[in-house]
Amino acid sequence: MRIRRLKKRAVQLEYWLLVLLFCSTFLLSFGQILLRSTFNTTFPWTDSAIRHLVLWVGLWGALWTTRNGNHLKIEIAKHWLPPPLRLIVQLIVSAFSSIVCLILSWQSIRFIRDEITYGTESIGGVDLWIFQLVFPAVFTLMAIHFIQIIAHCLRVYLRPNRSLGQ
Amino acid sequence: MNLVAIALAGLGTPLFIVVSFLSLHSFYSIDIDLTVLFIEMYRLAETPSLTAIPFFTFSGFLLAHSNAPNRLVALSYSLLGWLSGGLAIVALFICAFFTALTGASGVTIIALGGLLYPSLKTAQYDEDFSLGLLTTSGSLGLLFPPSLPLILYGIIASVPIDQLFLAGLIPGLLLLLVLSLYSIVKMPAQKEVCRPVNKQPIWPLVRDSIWEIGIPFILVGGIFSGLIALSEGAVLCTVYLLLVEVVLKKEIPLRALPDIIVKSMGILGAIYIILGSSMAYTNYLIDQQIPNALLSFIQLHIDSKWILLIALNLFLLAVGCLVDMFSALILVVPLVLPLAQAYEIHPIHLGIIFLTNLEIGYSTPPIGLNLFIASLRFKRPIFHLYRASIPFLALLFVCLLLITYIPALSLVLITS
Repeated sequence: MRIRRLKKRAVQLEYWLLVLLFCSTFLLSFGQILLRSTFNTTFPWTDSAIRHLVLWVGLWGALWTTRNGNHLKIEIAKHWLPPPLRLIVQLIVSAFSSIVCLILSWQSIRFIRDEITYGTESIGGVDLWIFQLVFPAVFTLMAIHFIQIIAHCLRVYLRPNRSLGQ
Repeated sequence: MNLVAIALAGLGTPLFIVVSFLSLHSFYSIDIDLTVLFIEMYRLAETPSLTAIPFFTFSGFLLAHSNAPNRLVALSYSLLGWLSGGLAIVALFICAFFTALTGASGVTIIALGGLLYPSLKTAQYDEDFSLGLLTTSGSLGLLFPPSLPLILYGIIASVPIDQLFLAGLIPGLLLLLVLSLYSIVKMPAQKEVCRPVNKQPIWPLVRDSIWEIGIPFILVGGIFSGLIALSEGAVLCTVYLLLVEVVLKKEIPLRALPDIIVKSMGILGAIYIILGSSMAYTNYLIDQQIPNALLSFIQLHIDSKWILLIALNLFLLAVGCLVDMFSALILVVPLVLPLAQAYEIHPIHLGIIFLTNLEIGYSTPPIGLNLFIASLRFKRPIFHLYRASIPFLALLFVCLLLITYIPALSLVLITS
């Protein structure tokens, strides 16, 4: 029960963080247009900050899409395979995806370590690597999500009377 | 390893995972540090035009969630209802308008299909005709500004996006014109019985829809006059739609906004992550001179630009029906661009050919995405939709040949 509640909280957190990220990007972009058109001025860091916020929105949106299973893919198997085989295919696909996400997450941490060591840039006083933390965050959470699907598939496989949708 | 990747992609692995895997494996095999993936992916935060995409995506979703589809259908029917085949033509124009604003993400069929299909049926249009029309119209209009695939092509191929917007106008209208003529031919023998019973006067309908109709004109005017940049246009479009649909017309309650944000940003995320993961792989391919090898191989066998274009069309149609539009653009444009340059095909003309192909591929059996969306939306077996969309596909294919072999259709507006 506790795990289920924790999972629900996590989903809510992801949801509201995505809303918050989009709203901040929107307000900052609109504010910049207003500043530029009325006072003919703007802060030197806004352009870069907006681009980085879009990076966050895009990757966080991708995480949300992972949760909903709506990633762009070639769906031949889904339409033509019989249901029992579909489960096995889903297991293989999720296992593979989780491994790739874990490797990506690890490589992104190494990337950020390099940036902390050698990086000199900042946006409005905030070091660049802080903006790059989105990479390991998103790929680790994606990996966790794929592992959850593996667990789900195994549960269904071991107890076949449970339907796939549960 | 490439075979493993293809097999996994065929099994339904998310494409960004497949591409990331290919990148990881390729760089590992030539002993390059794998952090290169993130050095490349980080370039996403250095591409200014990309900041337009979240706002256009969100605007499209706002429009789809408002009553705009209903209003636009009522208005267009009032304007065009008198014409033979009027209702079908209305359907075509509205679908095109809607797809241009929402990007070809299947939203058109879902948002408008339910409105237009019953009307077409009660107007005694042939069932196959109605289904085919709505299925193929799901991607009609993506040559019109501010369609996302056009913007994405501009970013990937590094060509000016405002010129692409101009270049798409005539080819886009050609597709609409040909399908409209077909609609007139296929009009039900009996005069359309389902004229709106209470035919409303036009003026109030115009007043109701004027806010939405204005968007493309204001946007295009603003961008071409140099008053606003593309990304500013996208933000202003969002502000405008929020004012109109949430504040003024109150068709979308404030509490519905978080859901709309999350849904639209989910779609954006799906595109964004493929773009990000493919950046390193594209660089690997270029570094290994794969596009050049492809070019020399093709130059060995094909010496005419025109034959190359046929081959390209067939290839792109196959790609379009296998892969969704955004992934196809991201993965294939970098490979095809050097080919086009070598055979002196204008990159903007190539863009229009590319998108027209993908537009058709989207509804091409056996696995064009529109067919599946329509099959779900209209609750018809997929084979029925194959049959229904064939005449439309044939006509669109003729248009494709015209667009391919008469470069002026795409280029006349940008060179004049």
